[in-house]
Amino acid sequence: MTMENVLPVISRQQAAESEATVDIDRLVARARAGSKPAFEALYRENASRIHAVCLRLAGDRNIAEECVQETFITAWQKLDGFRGESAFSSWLYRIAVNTVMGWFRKQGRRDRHIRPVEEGEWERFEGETSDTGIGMDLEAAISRLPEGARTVFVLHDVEGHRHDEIAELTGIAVGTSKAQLHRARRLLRERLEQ
Amino acid sequence: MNCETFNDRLDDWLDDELKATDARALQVHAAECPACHAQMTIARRLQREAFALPMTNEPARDLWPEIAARLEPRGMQGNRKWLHALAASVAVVAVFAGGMLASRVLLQGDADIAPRLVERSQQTELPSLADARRILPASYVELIDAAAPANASGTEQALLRNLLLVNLAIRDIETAMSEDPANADLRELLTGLYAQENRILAQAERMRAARPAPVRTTI
Repeated sequence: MTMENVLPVISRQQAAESEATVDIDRLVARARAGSKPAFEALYRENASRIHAVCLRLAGDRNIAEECVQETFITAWQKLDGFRGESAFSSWLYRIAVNTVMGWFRKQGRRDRHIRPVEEGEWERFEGETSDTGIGMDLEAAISRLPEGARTVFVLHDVEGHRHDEIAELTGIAVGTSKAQLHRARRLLRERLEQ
Repeated sequence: MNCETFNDRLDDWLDDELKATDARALQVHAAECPACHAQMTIARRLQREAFALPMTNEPARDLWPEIAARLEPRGMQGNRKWLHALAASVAVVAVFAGGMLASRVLLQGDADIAPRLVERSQQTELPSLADARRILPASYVELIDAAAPANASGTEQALLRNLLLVNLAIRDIETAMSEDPANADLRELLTGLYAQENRILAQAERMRAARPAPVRTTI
């Protein structure tokens, strides 16, 4: 095994959790007691993270915004069920993934891919991250993947989840997750080569 | 290793799931095959790029006002008894159907089935008849009394209690709608409950009409 071949051992969400502060716990407690300002602070703290994952999973700006709203409304409704066993951001993240998956299920077969995110729309992502210059192209290419392949690629290669975690998050089989990842990578390689 | 095997195993190599010997064979093949070498290079680059993508992305507009407008006060969350009342009413309305069926069966004279259905309609925890009579509009109570006078069939109880549950659910949803008039879900629920109330009252009307006319006695 080479160092080059070492993959991240924790998901990016887990890494983000380690930065959780005590203030978040206080805000959660106050929000649970009914404080909307506290919940707004939680929204401000987490909105860009939740929006990023919704946007990549949905591949559509309008759907992503709808899912962000639903995520926070669901979180507000379920705050009593949040026991603090995981970080609030992690709990919220799972709700967001479930929300997007639920949106796909509700849509069924009709108009799943309404409008792919245009390349210019990715410019709101903070900072330039590409050291090879394909960053923005990659975002656009991901958004154009078929739904199943995009979901697994985002959760595995972007978010850093393992296949068993993806299976748990999305309800698909581990084998399906692997097959979709294979498909997504192949499609992306083909598109980025063009 | 040929190119087909290489392609089959490339993902496992990327994810560090190949045995050392297989990984070595893959790299040897890539070193000898320009096409597969190019695939390996772009696959690795793609993987690095994907993992380096930013984790945050601000929405194009502030979504908080729309979220805030849809948040119920948390006190109300605990008081969402109308939902429970609604769930109960739906359940009891289903039971009510059993009660109605029982009364029809009784009218048809099938006494074997009727008691079981009536028993089922009485198994759910229901509001008391006194509550129903006190809370329901007087015209409803008069109609029920005329349709199904107190007797052993239990139909009167089923009618009164189901009307009460639907009526309470209607009141709660009307209250909720006064606070959230644009809520389409509440409007839909309310419409359904109005229809349910009408169905119960219409059924009571039919039962009143089906009752034998009182025998006129002359003194």
